[in-house]
Amino acid sequence: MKTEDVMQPEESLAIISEMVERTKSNLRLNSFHFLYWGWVISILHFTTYVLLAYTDVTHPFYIWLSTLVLWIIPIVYERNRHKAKPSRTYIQKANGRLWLGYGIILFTFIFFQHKINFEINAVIMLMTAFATFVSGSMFRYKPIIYGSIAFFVAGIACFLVPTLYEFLICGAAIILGYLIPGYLLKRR
Amino acid sequence: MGFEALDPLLHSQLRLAVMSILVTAGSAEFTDIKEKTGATAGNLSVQLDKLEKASYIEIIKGFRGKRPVTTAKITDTGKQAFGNYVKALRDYLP
Repeated sequence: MKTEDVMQPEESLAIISEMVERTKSNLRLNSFHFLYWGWVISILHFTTYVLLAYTDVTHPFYIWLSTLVLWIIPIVYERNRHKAKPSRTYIQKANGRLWLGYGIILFTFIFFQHKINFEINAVIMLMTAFATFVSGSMFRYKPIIYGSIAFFVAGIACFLVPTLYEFLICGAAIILGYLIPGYLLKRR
Repeated sequence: MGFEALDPLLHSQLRLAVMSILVTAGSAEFTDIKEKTGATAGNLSVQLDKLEKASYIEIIKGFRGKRPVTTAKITDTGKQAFGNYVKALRDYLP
């Protein structure tokens, strides 16, 4: 940003609006979703690995059905947060839409995973990399952007390793991509 | 067209951006301001100094563990100046 250009009043207003919007959005960025999903999904990944590697449980993937119910808690949380602060910034609204779209596409891929050779972990990691990158960029919060790199690397790795190890890789990516940014946000 | 009635200290892209951030957040760390404005560290330092000399902001230097942290905080004078600037802008808008 230059400092000594002669500004028109409209430019001044544009700068004020943009900075106020960015600041408000950034202040409202909170850690709940990162920590909630970070813990839930990483525990599910590591549990799946343990069940596959060390037990004779034939259908360990059923534990993932719990996510169908676990969606309710973040939805209720967001509703209550919206009631407390009804005026969401443009960035918050766009971010909400991004993750709504992500969720819809995620479940679509899960439903049709038999059509993509069951490479669902790789697909989810790459989708999460994309969504996290966009979200972090909108809020201009670097830990989330760096976290998206972890998801991206994990996505590629999942295409290359045997299925069993995908769950370890995904669990590690969630720690780097969700839990660490989540705890950094909480500390702010 | 001259903008004589507009506070010259605020009528500058980076300084206005800094004051907009601080009027919203109250205070912000140097690194956060740098990230939001896209300014270089050197340039931002110079502009923060100018705002501090005018008593629009206060610069607080501290530590987080062993890491030095610089925080800028808007003052009452700064809030007043920003409010006056926004009011004066209206006279120039069509």
